[in-house]
Amino acid sequence: MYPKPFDYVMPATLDEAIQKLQQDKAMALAGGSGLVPAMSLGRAAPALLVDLRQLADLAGLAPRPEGGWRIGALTTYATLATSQTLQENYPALAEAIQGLSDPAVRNRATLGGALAEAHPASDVAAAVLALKATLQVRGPAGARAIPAAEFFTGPGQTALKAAEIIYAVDLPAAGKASAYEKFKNPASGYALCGVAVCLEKAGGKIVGAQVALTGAADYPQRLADVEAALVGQVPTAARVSVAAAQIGAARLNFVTDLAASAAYRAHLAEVLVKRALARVA
Amino acid sequence: MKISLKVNGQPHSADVEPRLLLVDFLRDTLGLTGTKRGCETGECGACTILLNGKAVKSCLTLAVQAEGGEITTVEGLAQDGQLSVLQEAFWENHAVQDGFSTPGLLMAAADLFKRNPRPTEAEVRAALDGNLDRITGYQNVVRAILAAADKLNGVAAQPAEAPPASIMGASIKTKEPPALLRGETQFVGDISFPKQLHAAVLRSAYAHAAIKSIDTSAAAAMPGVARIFTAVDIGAMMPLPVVWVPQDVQSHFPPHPSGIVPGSQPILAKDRVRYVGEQLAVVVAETRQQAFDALDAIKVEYEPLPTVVDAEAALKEGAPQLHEAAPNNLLALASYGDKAVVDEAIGKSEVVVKQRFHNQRMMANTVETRGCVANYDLKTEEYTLWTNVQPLYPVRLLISQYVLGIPYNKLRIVAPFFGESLGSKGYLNAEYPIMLFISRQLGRPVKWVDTREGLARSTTQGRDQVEYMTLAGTKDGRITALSCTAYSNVGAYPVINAPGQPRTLIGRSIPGAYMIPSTFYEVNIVYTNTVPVGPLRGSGRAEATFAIERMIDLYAREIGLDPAEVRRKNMVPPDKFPYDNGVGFTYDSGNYPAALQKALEKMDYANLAARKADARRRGKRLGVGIGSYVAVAGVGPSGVMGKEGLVSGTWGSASVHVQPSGEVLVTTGAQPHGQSQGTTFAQIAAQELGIPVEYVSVHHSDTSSALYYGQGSYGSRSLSVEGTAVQMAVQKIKAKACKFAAYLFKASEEHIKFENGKVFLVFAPDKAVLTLQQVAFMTWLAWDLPEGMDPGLEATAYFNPTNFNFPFGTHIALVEVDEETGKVEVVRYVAVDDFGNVVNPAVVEGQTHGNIALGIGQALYEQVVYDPQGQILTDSYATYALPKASALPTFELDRTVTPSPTNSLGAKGAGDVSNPPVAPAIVNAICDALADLGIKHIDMPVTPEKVWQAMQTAKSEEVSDVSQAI
Ligand SMILES: Cc1cc2nc3c(=O)[nH]c(=O)nc-3n(C[C@H](O)[C@H](O)[C@H](O)COP(=O)(O)OP(=O)(O)OC[C@H]3O[C@@H](n4cnc5c(N)ncnc54)[C@H](O)[C@@H]3O)c2cc1C
Ligand code: FES
Repeated sequence: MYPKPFDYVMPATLDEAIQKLQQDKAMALAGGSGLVPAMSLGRAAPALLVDLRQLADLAGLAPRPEGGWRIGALTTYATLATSQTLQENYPALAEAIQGLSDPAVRNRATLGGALAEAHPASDVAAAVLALKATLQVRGPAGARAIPAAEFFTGPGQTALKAAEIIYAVDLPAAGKASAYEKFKNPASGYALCGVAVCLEKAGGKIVGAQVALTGAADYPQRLADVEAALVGQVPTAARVSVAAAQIGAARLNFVTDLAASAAYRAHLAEVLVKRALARVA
Repeated sequence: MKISLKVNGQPHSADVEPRLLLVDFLRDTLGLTGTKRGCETGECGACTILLNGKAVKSCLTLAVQAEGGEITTVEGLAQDGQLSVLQEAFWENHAVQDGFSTPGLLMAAADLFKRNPRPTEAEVRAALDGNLDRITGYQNVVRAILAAADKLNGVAAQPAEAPPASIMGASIKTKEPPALLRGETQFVGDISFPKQLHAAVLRSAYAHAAIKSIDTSAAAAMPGVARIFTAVDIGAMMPLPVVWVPQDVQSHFPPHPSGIVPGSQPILAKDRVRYVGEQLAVVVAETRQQAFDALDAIKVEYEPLPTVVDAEAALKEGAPQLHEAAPNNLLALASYGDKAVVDEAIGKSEVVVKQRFHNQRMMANTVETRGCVANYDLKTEEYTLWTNVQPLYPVRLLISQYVLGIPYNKLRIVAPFFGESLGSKGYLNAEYPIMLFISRQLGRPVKWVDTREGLARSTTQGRDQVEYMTLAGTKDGRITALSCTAYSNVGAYPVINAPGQPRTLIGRSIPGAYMIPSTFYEVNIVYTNTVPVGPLRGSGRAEATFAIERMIDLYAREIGLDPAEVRRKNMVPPDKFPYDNGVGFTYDSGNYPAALQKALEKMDYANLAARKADARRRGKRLGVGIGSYVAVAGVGPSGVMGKEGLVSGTWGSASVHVQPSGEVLVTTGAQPHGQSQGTTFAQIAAQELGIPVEYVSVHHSDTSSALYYGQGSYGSRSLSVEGTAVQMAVQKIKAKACKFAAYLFKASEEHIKFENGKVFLVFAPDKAVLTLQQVAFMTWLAWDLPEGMDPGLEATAYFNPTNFNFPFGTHIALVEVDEETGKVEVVRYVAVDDFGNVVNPAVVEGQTHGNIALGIGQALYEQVVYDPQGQILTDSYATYALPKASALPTFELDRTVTPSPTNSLGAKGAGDVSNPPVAPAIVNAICDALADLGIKHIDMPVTPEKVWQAMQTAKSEEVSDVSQAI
């Protein structure tokens, strides 16, 4: 009902924030749209909140010298949803954001917060996996880069270490041939199943394929079997179906809950993989 | 922590705890209560504000995060006292009913305009997806936002239709919206008194358990805690009573010391709890936060007992037993009709169709939860309760006589402005008497407002009936008999009117709009370890209509006839009224086939083949489904209700004063929660008196008014019963005015006429004439009155109808089912209803919108789920699915008009009667879409997964059929 009491600081630099986060039961606060309701429901009870909002240089989009784009961790969904750059270069991420929650939540929620939260049905998680993003993080031991594929490690778990802050998300240049398909949980609006795909083609063949799943299995992950069935192939409808059918072969932990059974989620995953691939193949 | 920020242009600084939510800062610290709290987890949108020009949910934001920001709340939308274009558009387009969700919707729309000044309808709907509203179906909200966008973009508005000559039947703007649109209206959660304490209720964590001990010592020592009350502290408080109890089953209820009516649940459970959520203790503290903090520190020792949550299972041998008085958990077994006759008819019939339905457990899940502020005044020794309950006077009587044992005269109940109900606020719940008791004990006002999780555990739920239906007929489509055996789950305790719904409201409605030679209905009403169940909007008739309308389609399919044709063949023809339906209802008037025909034409029913083919090309299956209905309304004839076992006078009344100033004041016991009686009742009085509607005020929702008694608003009764009383009172006033004029003009009364607000002598209408105002003034002076005439111009009238009224109609849904995912989309929805004579068509449309949205919710989304241990799994908006704006099409409404002969207005109920046809129309449409797969029925809610599973099963059966043939 009401958050438990906590202390609150608003550091002016990233270093200071990292230092504060080393205190016992300290948590970073970005938009608050994940953390504040969790506190209201008694699911999170930090002793110290470290509000990142003064770290203004952590927000915004900028081209990277080596190609591709960097998104500051504090960039809000609202900014990203309307970004021409994103829509043109990374449709999967733009679509994932446009289709999630509602305008008021998008106005506050940040990309970094969403990734750190690592909700098992996070839409952007699937998108960054498919786009082969790299998460730039800094912590007490310094800076490091975590490929998205290594970031989500289990249900609600990430590769983030204590007091580490995601400060940016780097996207490689290739992302135009990407798409996101979502089947909503009618109550929460989260993905009952979400699929992001990104293809690279050369000479009429698929030379690179990333297919990522969220909401359906226990945590967001790439579908290696599906990807393997695509690479080196001509992207025909028949091939897409064959690849999508690999979902069944994949040893995924599909989730059964109030909203849907594992079997239905597995079925949706196959349908959405097909639909997403059909749009980019 | 100190924060400084601007709110609506005004600078504010305050010292706040970091954990304070922005919504509470605005509401509690600044007193800006226009921003509402509906869920505290970001789903309902009631708390939406603009922070630095952008929409933000203030329950997802800490006050400290807004430091240095500029905030606009709903109170800041009007400029220089003028409603904004958006607010005006909401008013003009009847987008405001109860108004609780309105501030959030306005803020979401204001945000949309900043991003997108020319939104399409789809964009408007998408922009509202974070705002829940259980009442408007978003229909007029979307219309209003589009109209406001047009106006802001300089697009000329459609020329308004010429206003009708008569005020009756005119869609005049309702009176309440301006204050609601400004966020000034106070709902119960917005009321605060000096010295007020806050209460939080400790609820049972187990569905069935013995209570070994409750230790409140640690909690009592927490900061701000004034007192903690458990069962041992509330002395001789009696349990909740039940007032709708047919005599034959009284013994199956828990006892009640009044000896007059049976009992229900104790106000606070003592040694046993029977559902998750049953109240165990109340913490009272200086702030609401302190009260909730202390709740966690109360230690309860439970000894869990076996549970049962399903009605059929609860009847089985060896099932856990809930009440000593009710062996096998059976509250009542009741039947209507002659089983032997029906069985024989079925046996002789050419065609017999059988189906089991589960009309699933629902909850109103209103954005505004229940709440109250209780105060005991030491000076007057009077108790006052401000609360959102519909039946104010009945609750007053029950609390004073049957729970607290205090004088009726010393209890006043006031309903402040009142958010959504859907019937869920039509009960006497334990929190009300206990807060009154606590206020007296502590000598301070006590406020309690429920939470979202609390609502799921404490507020009466709805439906939850299993029906085994058998319909018999001829091969050419004539129904010969109908039989229904039902199991109704009433939860752990009976609510005040619990037995009435499965008996009278479902049982007597089961034949629907059809002439069925013999009908039999039998119901087992069963206790389970779940939240109590009672009527929910559409109540009773919704369950009955679903069952019969689905059976009609199954029968039509069985004999290969068009379901529309089968309906037409069996509907009660227009020349058969009044029509006795064989199980206790006499339908008043109607032309059922005419409404059906109109709906078919509107849907272009005969020409859907091309659309079906087109849908197939897109991977969709198109289906069309009909729901025809007749629904009892207008409770009602008190004697008839008495025979049904209801211990409450259900007549209507109104008192009308023509004040010495000439203004008119109507006082009614009808309690509005979005139905706009403040406007429609004024229209009735204005029409009858021939005066402008602006001269009439309507007073309601306060038992200290001059009115003797008021039943409240429920079951589509208020206009046809209480509204008729308004008309009758005005007629008395007119008669008195005529008598007075005859005396003054020394004329015979037969030569006096009352017209257009004047009384005059027919021979000299310009000379011998008095305005209503003059009559009021002169009768008030009473200098010269005819012999025996009382001073003043006022009258009270009572209306105790001799029969109910029976609105009817036909709804048709067009749905598309996704071949691959099973997802259902409602693509068109046509409703043709007959509410008899209508006072304000826009108001009635608003009611219909809400009914359709709720019906679509039941058909596709809503269900309360318990696990086998009785834990409720759907206690949030993130788990209890509801139709959102983007999931609904524009509803296409039309009406036929068949006046009811049961009241002088010719009105039929409209509040909840058009809900019953919705769910069957949708499910019929889905089954039509899947017909060629051989799918006959899918239980509600028809989720994509259930559709997919049905399709899978059907396809595998097809394959096995083929393989067998080989
Ligand atoms: C009503 C509602 C509906 C929603 N619907 C969807 C949906 O459909 N799909 C979906 O994917 N999501 C959905 N969300 C979730 C939402 O997208 C995330 O909660 C949000 O993006 C989190 O971002 P934030 O900036 O608000 O994070 P916060 O709430 O501030 O933080 C979330 C977590 O991340 C940590 N954190 C924040 N920033 C950083 C950082 N830079 N580095 C390290 N740790 C950090 C915090 O300590 C906290 O543990 C919904 C949320 C709500 C309230
Ligand atoms: S109260 Fe904030 S969204 Fe419900």
